[in-house]
Amino acid sequence: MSSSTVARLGETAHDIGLEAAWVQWAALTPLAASRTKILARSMIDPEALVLFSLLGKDRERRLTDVLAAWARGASFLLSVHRINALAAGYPDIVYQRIPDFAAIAAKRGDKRWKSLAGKHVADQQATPAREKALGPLRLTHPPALMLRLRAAFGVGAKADLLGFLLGNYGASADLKTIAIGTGYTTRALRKATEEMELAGMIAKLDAFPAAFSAPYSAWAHVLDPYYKPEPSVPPSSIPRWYYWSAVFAFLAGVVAWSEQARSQHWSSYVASSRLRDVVDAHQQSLRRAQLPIAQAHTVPGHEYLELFHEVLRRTRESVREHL
Amino acid sequence: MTSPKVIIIFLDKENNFHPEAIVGSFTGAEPIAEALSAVGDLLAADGMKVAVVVVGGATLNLLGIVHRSTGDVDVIAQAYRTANGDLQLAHAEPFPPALARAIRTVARDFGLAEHWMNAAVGKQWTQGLPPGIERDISWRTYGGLDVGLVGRRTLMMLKLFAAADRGPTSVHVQDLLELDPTDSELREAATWVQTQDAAENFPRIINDVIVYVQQHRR
Repeated sequence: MSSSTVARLGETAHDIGLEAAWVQWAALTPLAASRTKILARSMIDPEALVLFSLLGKDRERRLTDVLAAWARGASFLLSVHRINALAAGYPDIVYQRIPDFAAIAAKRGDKRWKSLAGKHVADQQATPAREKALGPLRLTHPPALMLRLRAAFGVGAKADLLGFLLGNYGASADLKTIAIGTGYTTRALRKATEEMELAGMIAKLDAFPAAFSAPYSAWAHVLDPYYKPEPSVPPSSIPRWYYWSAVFAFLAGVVAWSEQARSQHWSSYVASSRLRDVVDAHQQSLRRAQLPIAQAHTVPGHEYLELFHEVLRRTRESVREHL
Repeated sequence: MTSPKVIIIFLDKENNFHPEAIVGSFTGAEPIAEALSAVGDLLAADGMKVAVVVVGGATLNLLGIVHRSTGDVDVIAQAYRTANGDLQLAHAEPFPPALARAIRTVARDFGLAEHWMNAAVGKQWTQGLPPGIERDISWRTYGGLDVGLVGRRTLMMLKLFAAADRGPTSVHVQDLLELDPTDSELREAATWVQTQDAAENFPRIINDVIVYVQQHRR
């Protein structure tokens, strides 16, 4: 097996995800501010950000510190349900690290995390996180809208579906689409949308299946008292929704694939085949995220490994474009 | 006015065109060996070991008897070793799940037809396999896949049967000619082939094929 090719692909995928993760952490907390100069523009998916960061924390001590600080100081803004739901799309190594995060949050008094922390066994090999202060949370920064809505209305389906609809700038979405974006069940969303429509917070379109939209212009005035509407210009206080959960899960899948290929000494062909499996598993969600992922059978056999360099190059471009 | 022509293009689920899936998946030994290696790699990576016996065009190509296109790899049996080391053949189907999975995976990875490796010829079991087939196999190992290639004697029996079934213009007659059988080998093959079909005119059909081969062989 060309282990250098496999290692490079894994490193590249990790770097792409890490760059995006630091940009998003910097938008949320001054603890990460010095790590990047790129400004986040799209809506941050906080659970997706935590899950990808759990993968990378061994390689970057500062990331371990940020995660621990977030668990201590801001876990109340995270959804335990959503972490569990989204984690199913990530490699096992990520899922195995959730208890570490949950244990810190539970120890600080956020009892919602106790059930996830219950499986926690302290990793004696891991570098312990330093006790760093999170600093003032930047919830009024546009990319933090999802967290801001949770702070205002509580963590749950309503805040998240509102964030999703706002981030679509008036475009309507049916329950299935909202469920894919937010990670909640259609059943939970049905109740949430009914109540929010009753309160006049979102609009239900006269269509089948039922579709909903949020009057983002009206919400822009709430979110930004100084907002002045301009034709064809989305309000700056409302960031565009992006399928970060799909992107981070895919990149984490490639990183895990690379580690497994090397540790299990797969042949070039097996490595290429298992990489196609990763792409196939994420194909549908990556289309939503508009990531240019090549069809699995474009090139035969192990040649797919070399093609994948180009796939990751385009992925990096696309991720930066949507940051 | 010329007759209108109709071209039918087969597309997969994602609307992609695979010409190799229509005209034949393999030409020559190399692509067949590559596909079998890929299956063996996948089995080995899963810690599995499977042995199959292969006949038909794939075997002829791998043994270097022909260099032609063939649509698939025909598996006539699975194989096991008994406790005392004897080779035991078993029905080709059902394939072990790991093998079936590997075949599907290789089809995806190399753009092959879904059933590029199949056991359609395994129905031969109901009528009986050529006698002595167990002793007429040479083995090749591709990672976790051991592939038994039936030898000349078995190939001639199966090809004579197929040629009698499909007629003198079929590829099976061409394959028989490539095997360059002697008269005694043809007689031995015919003895078995005659047991495969009770139709009154079957012996005559077999004889027609033999005469054709005798007239056209090298």
